[in-house]
Amino acid sequence: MLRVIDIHTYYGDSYVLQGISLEVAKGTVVALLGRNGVGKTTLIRSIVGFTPARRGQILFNEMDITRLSSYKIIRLRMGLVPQGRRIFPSLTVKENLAIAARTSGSQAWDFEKVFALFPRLRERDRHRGNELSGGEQQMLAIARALISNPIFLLMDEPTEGLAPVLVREVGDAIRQLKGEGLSIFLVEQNLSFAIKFADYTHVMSKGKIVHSSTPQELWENREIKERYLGV
Amino acid sequence: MIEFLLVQTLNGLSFGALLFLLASGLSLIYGVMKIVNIAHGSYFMLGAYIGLSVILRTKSFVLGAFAGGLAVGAVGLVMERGFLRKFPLRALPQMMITLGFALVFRDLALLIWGGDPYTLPCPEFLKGSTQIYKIIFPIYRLFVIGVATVVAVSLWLFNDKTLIGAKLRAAVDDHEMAGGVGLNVPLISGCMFGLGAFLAAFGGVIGGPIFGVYPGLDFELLSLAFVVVIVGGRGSLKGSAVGSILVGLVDNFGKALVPELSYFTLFAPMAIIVAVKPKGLFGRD
Repeated sequence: MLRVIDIHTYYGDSYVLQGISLEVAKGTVVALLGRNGVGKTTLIRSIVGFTPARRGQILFNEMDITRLSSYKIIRLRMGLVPQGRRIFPSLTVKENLAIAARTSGSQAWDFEKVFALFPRLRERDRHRGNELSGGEQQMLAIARALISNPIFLLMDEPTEGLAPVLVREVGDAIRQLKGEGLSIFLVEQNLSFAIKFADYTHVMSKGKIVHSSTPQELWENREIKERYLGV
Repeated sequence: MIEFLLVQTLNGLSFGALLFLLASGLSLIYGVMKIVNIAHGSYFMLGAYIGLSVILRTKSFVLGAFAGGLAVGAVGLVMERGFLRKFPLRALPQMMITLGFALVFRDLALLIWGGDPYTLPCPEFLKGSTQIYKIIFPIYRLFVIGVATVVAVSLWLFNDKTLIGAKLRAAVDDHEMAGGVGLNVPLISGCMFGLGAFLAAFGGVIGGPIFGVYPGLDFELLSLAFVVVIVGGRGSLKGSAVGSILVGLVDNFGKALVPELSYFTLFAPMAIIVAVKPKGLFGRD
């Protein structure tokens, strides 16, 4: 579904992604782990076209999206749950969802279905983005991605700054999405959260992928965990 | 005394009404694209000139207002699609492009319409004056206040109550993430730019019977429009409305009471507001 082939991405002169390759197959959850500032978010930004890669190639369903505009990439039915949630503050909950909504087949996500997944959002549907708590914003960020009916979901630290009870709720949502056959690329710092869902894991450090394995192998590899994840 | 206050208030409001037509577009363009459009005052002036030519030929003020608005709206669209788009979010190149256009528009206007000042003919049915309380006030100025109010309410309804308005606000809130939920931000930006140019030019024609049109009108009004945007808050429609009324009133009372200090009375309050609220009264980012 998604193939990242040896991409190199820069912020101005700073060389952030130094040759990243990975793949997310249809219907799988792939997790990318690593400490702060190693380039995980930059990888997401390159995939969605916010910071296009300078070299290398990104294929989505065999289509080259490396230098496509963000909105065109998203309209290929990619859903983005960005780091820091980036809810539109002057839009209500309902508007945040409405501008992202896109219709699709029978089992489609609509207002009813996202409100069923996150009942809290229904109660707050007339509130503006800047009036929501961090947890509510996170739920809205996930709901906003889902209501576009993606076939592929990018999630950048969906549990960042959330209370444990909300982490569990987000986890339940991811499990449900995986059960429905959605392909997910999950960026996380929280290893024990990520390995609950991941079919495969990559570990990143200083702009390179330094370890790739099944979650089980990563969990048992004490050296990698200590060195790159601080566990 | 009360007559003086009433007359000056109404004058200030009608000037504020015109400023709103000019500044609302300038503010939204900055809000969505972060473009400081130096050519925005030129739209007002070009609108007035085009309107004048159309009115003289067709004898229809309404036709003149829409012809001026649409022609300049198209000019704005071409500027955005053909030039500014090539330098997204790069403040300096964009500003230099708009400055270049402003200078070209100035010379072009001088070439076509010459250096003489003109006053646009007031439409027949709006000529004359009416009595309000104890004062006699020109009907046309009340009409200007009415038109701007209708435009402001329409813009507000469009911006706050429609899905397209929500998309526009999303682009103002977070330009990049708007693309990240699949919004065609370049298209929204282009339309925004065209709409802003349309409103400014439309305002130029509407203001023509009061201000007239002359070389230099472009930059004279541009500075006032910037004051409105800075005071009201960049990208905020409410800010443009409140800012326009404030600037209209302050400018008018300043010129009426202490004409020798008219720039001081305008810019000093602006400096104080910006010192207290750097983002303007209703600013967001």
